[in-house]
Amino acid sequence: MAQERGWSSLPKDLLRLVLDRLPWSTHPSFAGACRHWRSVLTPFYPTWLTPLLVSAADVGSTNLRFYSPYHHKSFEISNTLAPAAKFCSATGRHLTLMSWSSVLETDLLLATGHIHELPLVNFTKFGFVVYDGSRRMFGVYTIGLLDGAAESVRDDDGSWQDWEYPAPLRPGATMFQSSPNCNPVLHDGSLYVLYEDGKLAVYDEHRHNEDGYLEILDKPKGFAGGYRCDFSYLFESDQGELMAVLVGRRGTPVHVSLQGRALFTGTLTTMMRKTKVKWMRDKIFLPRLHDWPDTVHVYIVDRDGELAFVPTSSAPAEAVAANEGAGIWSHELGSTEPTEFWDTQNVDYSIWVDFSTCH
Amino acid sequence: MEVDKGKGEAEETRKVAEADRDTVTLKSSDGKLFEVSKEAAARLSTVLAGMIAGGSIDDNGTDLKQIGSEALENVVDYCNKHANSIPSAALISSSISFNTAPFKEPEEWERKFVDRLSHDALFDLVEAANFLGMERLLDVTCHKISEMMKGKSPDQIREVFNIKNDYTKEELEEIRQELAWAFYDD
Repeated sequence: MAQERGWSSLPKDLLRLVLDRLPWSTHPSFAGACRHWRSVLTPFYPTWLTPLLVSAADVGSTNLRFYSPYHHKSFEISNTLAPAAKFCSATGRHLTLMSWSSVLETDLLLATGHIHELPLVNFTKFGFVVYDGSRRMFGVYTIGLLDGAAESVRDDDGSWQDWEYPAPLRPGATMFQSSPNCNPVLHDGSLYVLYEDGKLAVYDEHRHNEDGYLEILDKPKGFAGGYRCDFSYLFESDQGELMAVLVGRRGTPVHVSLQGRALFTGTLTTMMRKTKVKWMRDKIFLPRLHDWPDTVHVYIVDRDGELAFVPTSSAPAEAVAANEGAGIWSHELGSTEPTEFWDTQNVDYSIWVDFSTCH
Repeated sequence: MEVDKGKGEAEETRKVAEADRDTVTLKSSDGKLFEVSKEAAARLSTVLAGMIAGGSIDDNGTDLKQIGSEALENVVDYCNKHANSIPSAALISSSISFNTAPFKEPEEWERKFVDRLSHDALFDLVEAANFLGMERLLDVTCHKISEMMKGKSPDQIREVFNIKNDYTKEELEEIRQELAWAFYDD
């Protein structure tokens, strides 16, 4: 029986059932098998190729929008976020936000609008909030006399404990200002803060009970002499090293190899990722766009642990390969070619998130 | 119309030719007769449930002209095994994201059931399950088929399923362009 009709002529409704059970990454191979099989393929956009820039469609309350540098498109989902909350940090699929008196935590992939509110913050608002993606939330003060980290721990039942604050005033403290656009970074279990003059500070959770202060370290050796930059971002690389990227607009180009990786920075979170996309290698991407991308209304759909954007309308997907990075501002390390910077538009209120680690 | 018999009463297949109130007799395209628990048939197949409810079951063997004896034997075997199995917690999908198709993972015995089938038998079974409106069996067979192609290249998939490549070079190039992200080499 099977020999006469054969798998290539399996009815379309059955092919769809099979396709619906395949991980997204196998869909192209499925389509490549034969014409009949390709005819049941539906449009989707993988989420895991690069980090995505999450922003809110309007400031305040709003639909979540994911900009993909690979596709140069914005994917908008109908989930709304808490009004007037600011993005604080992104860890995998977790997004942490802060409103006037509270810290909010949401799983970007969970049911519509599900937002978890943490215990009230009871005096000055935190400078930064960093979530480790599982149990610990840090509220960090980095300015002036008040520096240190408050901590909240999630219980087994999912509820957050009250914040444990650092000791209120640090004796003999001097005025420091941390890099305002860069989150403290969790690295090897400790929290690191980059200050504007290049100094690093570290908060060690085990010493929280003593005072909760940040310990100011010396400047990293490489910064000695010429720490002059407009923006600085601290991050943990995909190899687990603590690194900083310093952005200036004048001076000699830096010749450092990213070894084929791409760096996504310019928001509170910075990420370095290996990429298979050739034109993205050894480049630094900032959330600045040369032209405004089309918006596609989508659902996020999980297939065997892989996430893709699936358009809500059945309009055919356009071919997307031609973009080649023309949409987003990027800088190739060591390149002396000038890149238009000031003519680009900044994607305000945005933060890089990474779904590649959600598998 | 006694559709809802308790699970405890579900019986082993019995090779009895005469009509029995607890079973129905099905006849394959090549004329072979199979007996299946009426309760399981009605529960697992919307088509058989409809026939039982509508009284269109033939005591001498209900003709299923679209289904060969090998496939029908597997269908009946599946129904009887299902009648004897206790649904486990694995039936409830544990997925967490917002838009996951609510597929139920096959149970251990269901996996074994389809794993032992040849490709031809699997093909016939998935078509039979489709014809009889057996949602659960479709779940299990389609899951198996998808496992057979997971992570494979188009060439490998064609080889597994014995599919002839009917694309022109230009068409293949078009697919590579359209889904370029999938074809980057390291």
